[in-house]
Amino acid sequence: MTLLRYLLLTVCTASFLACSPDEETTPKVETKEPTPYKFSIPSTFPQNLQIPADNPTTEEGVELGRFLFYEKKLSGNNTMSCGSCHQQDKAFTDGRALAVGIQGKPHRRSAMSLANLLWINQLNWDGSATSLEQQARIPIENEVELHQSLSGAVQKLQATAMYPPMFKKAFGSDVITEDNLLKALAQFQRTLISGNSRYDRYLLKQEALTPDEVEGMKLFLTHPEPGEGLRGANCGDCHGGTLLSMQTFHNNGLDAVLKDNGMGDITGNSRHNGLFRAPSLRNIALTAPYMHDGRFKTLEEVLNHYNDHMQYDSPNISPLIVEATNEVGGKTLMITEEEKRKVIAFLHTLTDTTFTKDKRFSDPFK
Amino acid sequence: MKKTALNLLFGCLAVISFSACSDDDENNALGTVALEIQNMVGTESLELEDKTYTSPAGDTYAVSNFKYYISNIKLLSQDGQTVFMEPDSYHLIAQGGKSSFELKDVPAGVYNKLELSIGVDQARNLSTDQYGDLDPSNEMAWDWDTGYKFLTLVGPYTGDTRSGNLVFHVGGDANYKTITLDLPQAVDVRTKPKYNLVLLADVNELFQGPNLIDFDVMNTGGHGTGPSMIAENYSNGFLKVVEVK
Repeated sequence: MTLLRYLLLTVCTASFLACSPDEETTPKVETKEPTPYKFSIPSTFPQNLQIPADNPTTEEGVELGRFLFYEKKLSGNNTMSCGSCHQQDKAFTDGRALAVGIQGKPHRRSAMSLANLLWINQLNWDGSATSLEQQARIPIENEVELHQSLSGAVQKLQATAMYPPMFKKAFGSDVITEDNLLKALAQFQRTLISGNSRYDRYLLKQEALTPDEVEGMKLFLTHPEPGEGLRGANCGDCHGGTLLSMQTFHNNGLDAVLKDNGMGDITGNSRHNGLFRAPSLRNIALTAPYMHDGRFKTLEEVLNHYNDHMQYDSPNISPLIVEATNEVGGKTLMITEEEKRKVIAFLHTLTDTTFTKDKRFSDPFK
Repeated sequence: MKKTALNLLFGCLAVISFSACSDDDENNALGTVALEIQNMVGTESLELEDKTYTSPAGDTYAVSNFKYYISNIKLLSQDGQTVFMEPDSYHLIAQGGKSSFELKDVPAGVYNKLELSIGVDQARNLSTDQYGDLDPSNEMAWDWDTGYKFLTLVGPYTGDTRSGNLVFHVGGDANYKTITLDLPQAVDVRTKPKYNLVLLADVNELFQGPNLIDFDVMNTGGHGTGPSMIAENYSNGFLKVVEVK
């Protein structure tokens, strides 16, 4: 009798499980599964997270990624890490116009800020990587950056006492692989969420902005329509939304003759020559100098460029910029000094010091 | 004792059959109506970047970016009664992106008309809540007083007297337009559980009926919150249902 009930119970349980194909069917092995990482995301940010199915974010993977991010063994001469050019107090930039690698040679472009990468699927200034896993290889191997072959990096880490157990915790094996190294770096970078600037709190109705900042915000978000008396600084066409980037690529008229083809070199399409990512302006007050080649030292210089020094003959220049003026029949943007000042006041509300001081993102070797 | 065990067995079997793996086998009371939207210019399919078109006013233009929200989709009976309303109905149709979607769980009935809106209704337009394709970080996010861009069209043009770029961004509550489209053939979910409606969206209709847009006179617009000539046009003949299959 007891046997019959036991049997029935087993059948019952088995049939319940039959419908869900994801249930584990293999016997449990002894290794502890890594703990899923819980993202904390402001309600104003996109809630549909797109994380690669083959690299779920876990506590152990993120922790490993953090050590790797600050690990100098990932450079050819053990002097630099990702964190050398992506410094937390500068919203993960380096304060230089052009990044400088282990040989002291300048890169042709400026180190980008790392924040809210969870929502970016065309990375770098030119969109050359479509996932953080793919991206992580580039600066490690590039000879003007860390100049370290990935296979060599794996060997160096494998020889340490610290890393093999960390990889085992994160990925189930203490044999380090190139893929797992890149995956851990990607996991850590996905956690770099900046969502507590004054502007974020304003959008959540938790904090007020000053009248100048609010006016600056309105100018920032508005494409001008002089016929209707609508004034705007026209930033929001490319840097709008709660992430402060539309994730689009544009030629913003820096040079009449292109010095760097940007996205065009990646796609091979001449229409993309001169196009660069319109990066998020989050923490923009901390990430000077500006542009893909760091040519502008201050936010004032940036606004002066858009207002007064656009090279309208530049190939593939963004129509969103060309067709923006505050005067009927105007050829340039034509905002006033007062308006520039207000826009810059608004830009300072995008600074998130919670992010730049978050211990979870800091150098664990210090 | 034995009886209890048998009861348990029956109970168990009953649960198994109720929780069958596929859920729409036996229940054809609910149907699916898919919408496929093809962007056109007149009788030609729209292609981004490379193809040049002629506007109703006789100007030539190309399109580099074309997106619009359609929302609050309803299926109506012959007498115009709403019989089905899609919940959280916000779809961002993008040339080179999303062009089709399914209305699910459509109850049995005969439908003769499709109602939809272009844009986002005021309640959702002025919030950062995320339903359907609403996303306050996407390219359609505009500003917090106006809400989303309902439609964006960007591309180069050559007019009779000048050339440059078209930048039409239309939004604002005044430009939220609800339209009713006749279906060329009734949809009867009782006889067929899955239908496809083919819709055409004609870009040239943005530039005529009632307002003829001459790019020599107007090549940007809609950025304000006031009524837009483009919006008046998109509520008249921009979208039509051409096929039910």
